[in-house]
Amino acid sequence: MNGAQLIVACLETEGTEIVFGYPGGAIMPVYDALYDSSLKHVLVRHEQGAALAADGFARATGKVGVCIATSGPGGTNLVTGIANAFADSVPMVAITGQVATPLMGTDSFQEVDIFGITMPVVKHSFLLRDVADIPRVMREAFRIAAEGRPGPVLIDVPKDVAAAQTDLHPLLAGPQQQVAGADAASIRKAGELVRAARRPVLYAGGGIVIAQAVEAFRQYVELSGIPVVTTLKGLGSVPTRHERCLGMLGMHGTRAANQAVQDADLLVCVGARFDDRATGKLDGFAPKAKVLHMDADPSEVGKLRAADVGLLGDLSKNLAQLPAPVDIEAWQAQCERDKVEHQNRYDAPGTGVYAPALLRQLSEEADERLLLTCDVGQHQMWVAQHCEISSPDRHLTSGGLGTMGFGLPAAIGAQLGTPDACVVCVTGDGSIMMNVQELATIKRYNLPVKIVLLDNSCLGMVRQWQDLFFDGRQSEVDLSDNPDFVRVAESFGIPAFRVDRRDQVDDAIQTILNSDGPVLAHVQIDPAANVWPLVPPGMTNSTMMDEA
Amino acid sequence: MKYTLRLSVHTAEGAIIRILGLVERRGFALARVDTTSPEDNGHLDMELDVVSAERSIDVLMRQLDKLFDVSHVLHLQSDTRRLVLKKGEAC
Ligand SMILES: Cc1ncc(C[n+]2csc(CCOP(=O)(O)OP(=O)(O)O)c2C)c(N)n1
Repeated sequence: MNGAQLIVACLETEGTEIVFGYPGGAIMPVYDALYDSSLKHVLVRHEQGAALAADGFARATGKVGVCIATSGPGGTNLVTGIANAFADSVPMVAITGQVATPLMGTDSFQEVDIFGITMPVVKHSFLLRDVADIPRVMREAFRIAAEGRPGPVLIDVPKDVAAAQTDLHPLLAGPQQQVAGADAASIRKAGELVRAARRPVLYAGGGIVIAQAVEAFRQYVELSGIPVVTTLKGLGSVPTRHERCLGMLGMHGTRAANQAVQDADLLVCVGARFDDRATGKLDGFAPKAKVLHMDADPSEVGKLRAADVGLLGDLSKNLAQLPAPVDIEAWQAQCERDKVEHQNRYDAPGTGVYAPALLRQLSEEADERLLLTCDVGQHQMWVAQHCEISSPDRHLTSGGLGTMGFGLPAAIGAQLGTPDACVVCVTGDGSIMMNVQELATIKRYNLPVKIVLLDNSCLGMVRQWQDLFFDGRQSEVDLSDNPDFVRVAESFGIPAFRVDRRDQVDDAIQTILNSDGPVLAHVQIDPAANVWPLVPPGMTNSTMMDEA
Repeated sequence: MKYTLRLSVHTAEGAIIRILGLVERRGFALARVDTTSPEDNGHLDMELDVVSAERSIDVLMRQLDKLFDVSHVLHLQSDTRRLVLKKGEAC
């Protein structure tokens, strides 16, 4: 056996079934080993697509996503996808080919220091200089990627190491380490905070689904009756239609959610990290609230906002120890009133397609198999604001990095990981072009991914900011010369159709939801439409702008 | 504010750069870096003086502690404690 065959054997031992990648010189020994292997290799059309597809696969399944690329440009093309996984704590193993060790450090052909380049955006990384290290490094990589707060791990494999002979075998994973809950004293203090609170709010983040604590969180919501606000990635921690759910907080959050946080006397932060898009101006965020911070990652507690009590360790165990608050009926009623008063409206004037209404209707008419992936921009925020989301692993969105181009490859990964899901990628006319080549991957593997392309003929989110905060000076945001997206899709062999008017929306949604194979709906929307409400940058969440 | 940290480091490839990179990226200036490997046992002792006006040293320590090559982080002394020590030496 050679090193490359051993690497592939290790992947099989780890339970990997699908890898996303793109071949090239330095990684050829690994591709040769894949030729005889049981692994399914998905050939993407750009390495960024491989990393983002592995990311989507991991988010949808909870398993470690794996991507492979060659040295030099192959590795650098992975970087955005690796950074995306790092920002959103997604378990991933990225394997890159490297030039042979005697050539390393000589500026040889397709040599880049990918180990160095990715250092700030990986959870950990390895440079495999010795074939004897392969079993240990592969096992460690999978363990590190998945345990605690997950993240991407890079393994750089020089070509001569991949070609070297070895008689070693893969290491088997040991029993999973049980993560303990917080210590009794902290739990007691947390309980005191909860019992003393009259206006508590649960601030739910992406950490809940990562820690597999959705069930425990929902149970605590039922037990406690505490109103819930969520981050972008926390959407679905309780179904968005749940009576206690006030929606997303922050820059494009709901008024009810932001108001509740500003009025709260206790913020129970569950797997969230006080990100600036959620908090607005940090020192005016939840100004009256004590903070109970629950997270698996010790370095998050107190990073941006001091916690009165921090609960580390297993979220589910800690949630199960929390008491219900007493005497919060008046507060619940106040939150409920706010929610009803500021409900979204869908009666926009005109006959053009109103994107929020289309997205809402789509999510209502879909069944529980719906899995949404988003790109980045206004359409991403509309999905977050208007779609019914049943669970966080059914709404894949690039939260931390905000990576345009995420949607399509993430949909590919999600569809391959959850074949029964009805995967719908909501994208924009800017974002789709960032990884449009992956339409070829959808076609090749005949993936029934549905694409809803909301075309406002501009980089809408940037245009909105220029209109609002740069005196309407629209700089380099015009996309009115877009290609004909229907023909683009069709040229890849993917059926596509246009939606120009509101009276076509019902039929369009039926076509999208009922197509057996892939389909692209090219939806023309108002170029001037904005995302409302909005907290202007640098302001506190009490300052929400709305449509004039 | 200047802080002195002592780290026990597993000498894996990239470990030192990873540590120094993290310190700077998280908003601390490096004022001193000392490394010694007392024995040839795959471990390295590292001492850092790091400076930040507003960032929390506790959070930095936890961030360093998360690195897989770091087995130990100790906060040796802050400016004030060093002053006290020096005074003590003087008497
Ligand atoms: C890779 C990348 N480049 C640039 C940006 C900055 N950016 C954020 S939203 C946006 C516009 C997105 O346009 P589109 O995909 O058409 O979506 P819309 O806002 O119009 O719905 C841009 C350029 C980004 N987030 N990611």
